Amino acid sequence: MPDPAALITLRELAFTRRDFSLRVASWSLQPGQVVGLVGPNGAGKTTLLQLLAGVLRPSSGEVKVLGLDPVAQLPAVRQQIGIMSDDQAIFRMRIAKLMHLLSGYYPTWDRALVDTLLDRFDLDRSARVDQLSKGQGTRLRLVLALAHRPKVVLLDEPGTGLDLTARRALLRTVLEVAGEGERSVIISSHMLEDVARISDRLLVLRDGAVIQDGPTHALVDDTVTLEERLLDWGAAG
Amino acid sequence: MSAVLLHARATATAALSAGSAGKAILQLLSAGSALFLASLTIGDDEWPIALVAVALPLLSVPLWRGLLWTSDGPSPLPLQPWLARAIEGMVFMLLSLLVMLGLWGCLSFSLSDLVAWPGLHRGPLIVTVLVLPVVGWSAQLTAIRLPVAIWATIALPGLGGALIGIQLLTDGPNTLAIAALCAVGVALVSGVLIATFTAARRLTRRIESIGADFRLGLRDRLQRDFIRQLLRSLVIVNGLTILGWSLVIYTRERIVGATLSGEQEVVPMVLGSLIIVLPLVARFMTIDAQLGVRLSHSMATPAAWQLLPIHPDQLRLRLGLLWSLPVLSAMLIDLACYALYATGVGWLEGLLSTSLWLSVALLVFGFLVFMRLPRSTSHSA
Repeated sequence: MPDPAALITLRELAFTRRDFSLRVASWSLQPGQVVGLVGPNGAGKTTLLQLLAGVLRPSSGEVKVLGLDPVAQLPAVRQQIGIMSDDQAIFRMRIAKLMHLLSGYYPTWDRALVDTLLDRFDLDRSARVDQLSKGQGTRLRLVLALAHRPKVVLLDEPGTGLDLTARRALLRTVLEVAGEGERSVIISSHMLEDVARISDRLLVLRDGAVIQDGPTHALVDDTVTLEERLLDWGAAG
Repeated sequence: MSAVLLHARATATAALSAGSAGKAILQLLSAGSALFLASLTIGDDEWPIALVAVALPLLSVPLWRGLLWTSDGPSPLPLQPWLARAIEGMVFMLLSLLVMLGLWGCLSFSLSDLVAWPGLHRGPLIVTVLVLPVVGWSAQLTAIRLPVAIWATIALPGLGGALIGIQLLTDGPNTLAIAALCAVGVALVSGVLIATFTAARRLTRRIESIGADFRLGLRDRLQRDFIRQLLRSLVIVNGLTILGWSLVIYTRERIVGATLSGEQEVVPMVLGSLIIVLPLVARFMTIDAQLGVRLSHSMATPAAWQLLPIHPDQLRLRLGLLWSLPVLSAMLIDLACYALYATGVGWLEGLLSTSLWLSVALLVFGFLVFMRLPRSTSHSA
């Protein structure tokens, strides 16, 4: 039975591309959860996030995001989710203009939140996107993913290129988002320490299959780190 | 001709590095002005090459830029940025030359009938034409692109005109006076165009920022943006096209008179330069037609559309309409002028044919751009 409160539900999901396939029998995301999506390179983390964002179409099975099909109802889903990946292209213009431009695509765009996040991540509104450093670009992508107060935030390697201060700001922001109760975050990262610290649930993938799914505290504790766990499961990168 | 190629290469590379339609247009306007001057130093049979050399960078700078730079970020070439840019510029020019030769072969008329060599002393003009490439490269290397481009657009053709004027005072015939005045005219028209577009853009931004405060529903806003951008493109493109052709047709009698009185083809030549530049700049401005984002941005970073809440098919349809309708409507005006006024006037036939050909090239260019936009999701996306 589908869970009406779930923000995301997957049922018998399968996606095949050339010699890679991803399979998820059943999975759901509840409001307020922060899910750490971990696994080695090629496990299917980015593919899963792209299926949730409607970038890819499932080969079979069902994906529901906020009760909607992310491919068939793409605009409605995209307006309610925030997507961030470290290599996502951004229009080349000044940050202020970019914000003004994108605000037109999201009815829930929050200018005050944008100002707060730009200040927190130390981004100059007059800077041109194509002149930002790697870390600045990552921070800007994070601001863009959160600016419209999405109900689901999908973060793919959000820590790339960030220094310690920026990483702390990132983690704080993710916890704030999830702390509002009605919103959830899925974070895919190789920074396992960060993931273990902020996520309250882990989804571990290996070779396109889910090998672990459960509360973080049940999988990782003070005696065993997430990295050691992944080694045990054969899912270390 | 080597000066023309040198200049065209410099301009193309500078425009490649500029990264925006506005700057590219500024630089290409300067190229147009310079090539007008350069045309006075080359043989009359090379005129078609010169004209197409003006037009092709205008058409293809964003195209090659988009093809070579496929995503936001550094050049894919694993080289120093300046070297990568230089190589891209040379590749760009090589490809442009090939296309140019192909187009030239397709043209069914010869502009050489229009232009007679005025017997001008070449010295001052060659100096001017050689100065511009240096300015172009300097603008690129020093990254002070916009001010230098404006300066090159306005000041250098003026300087060329002044040099010719000085020459006139000593030994020039009357045709040279016309040429000098027209060189200054090209510079002034370029300046007026720049000022007009800048003012229009600022006004539009102001209106947009006011409109954004009202927080209309998303669907309304997108719809409104689309209609507004389409109307704006139609008005700009067709307005400038009508203005350009009106100028030529209104002065047709004068041109015929000048030809009969021995002033020959200097006036049609200058007006030809204007008329090629004006409507094509106007049509190129449709690149600025936006769905919130300039098409040139879309070309540089097509993947940036991928995660926005707009369906790829809808995006392609809207951008396609924004691109093609103004160009098509301007081509109708070309055809109407052709039918009504060009019969028996060879040079006007030539100009209109050129405009039509280059408009077709614009449409092809737009098609190539849309091919690069994100597609609907698929199994193998």
